[in-house]
Amino acid sequence: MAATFASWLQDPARLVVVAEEGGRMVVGFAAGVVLQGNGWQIPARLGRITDAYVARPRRRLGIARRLAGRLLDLLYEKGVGTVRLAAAVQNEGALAFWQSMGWSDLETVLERAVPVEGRDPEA
Amino acid sequence: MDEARSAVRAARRSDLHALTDLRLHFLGEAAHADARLRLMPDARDRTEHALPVWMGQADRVLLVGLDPAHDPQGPGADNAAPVAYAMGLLGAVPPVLAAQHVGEILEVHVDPAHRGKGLGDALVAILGEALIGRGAQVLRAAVPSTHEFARARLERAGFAPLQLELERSLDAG
Ligand SMILES: CC(C)(COP(=O)(O)OP(=O)(O)OC[C@H]1O[C@@H](n2cnc3c(N)ncnc32)[C@H](O)[C@@H]1OP(=O)(O)O)[C@@H](O)C(=O)NCCC(=O)NCCS
Repeated sequence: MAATFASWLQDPARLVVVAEEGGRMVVGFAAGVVLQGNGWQIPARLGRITDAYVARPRRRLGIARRLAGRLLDLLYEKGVGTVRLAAAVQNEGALAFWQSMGWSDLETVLERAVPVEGRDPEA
Repeated sequence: MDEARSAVRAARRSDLHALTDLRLHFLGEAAHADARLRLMPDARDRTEHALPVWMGQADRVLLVGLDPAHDPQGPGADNAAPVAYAMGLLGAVPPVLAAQHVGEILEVHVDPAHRGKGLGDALVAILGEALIGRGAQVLRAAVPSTHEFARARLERAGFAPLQLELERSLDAG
């Protein structure tokens, strides 16, 4: 995980913002990346928020709102006009948070488990 | 469904022209369902170039469906143009999570004139089997959230909502 963060900080397409308390304790962070579009649908370039997290005892204080706002500003500065992210349908808190920030539904990802006997044991 | 199943086969290079048209229809319907999925001006060119590449990829499955009313063994069956297609990809979720082979059902489309013949369900079923045969441990499919019909079809096939793809435009303010 630490190695992942270190590589993000080096990568100009990656953006990471943190929320600090008292100038020394990190209580939350958000990360994003600038990506190319798929080539056939707009947009040609898009931002993706890959992470947003606030330590449990510091939630509902507006920290994520500020983290996301700062991250969106940075993405906008990189020429991004559209930003996407994925949130689990069970994560009601996260969905309520993003909706309160003006995000709306684009696609629904559905999943089907595969019975074990159906799988290729060599795979 | 048996009749529809036997009308499904792997895509071939000779299907390229029909496949390009079908895919543009598919993308057009998604754009119609949600304007945020509008097409780029060169979507057709890119599709024409991408399809032959996709056909040669080991982790990708590209199927076509023929008109089930025509005998697949009958005369002229070899040059019958596809009226439906489906594409899937064997992927892996980001390595931070437990590595899991995900069979992604990327695109499924049946020409409107040939809907209601079981082709869509047959394509989803055969595509799922092909992905599982290549090692998929779970199947996933994304549909535009406004596309109730596509979603209901997948739920009938045993799929359940997992996550939402959310979007925000920065240009609007
Ligand atoms: C989602 C998360 C980042 C929100 O962080 P936060 O700092 O508590 O959020 P904020 O205080 O900035 O919330 C801003 C607004 O979002 C909404 N909101 C946030 N959390 C909510 C919740 N659990 N339930 C309902 N609404 C919520 C509220 O409208 C809130 O304003 P309010 O407190 O004045 O009512 C945090 O709950 C978290 O870290 N969760 C675990 C990780 C996660 O799920 N990340 C998102 C992955 S997509």
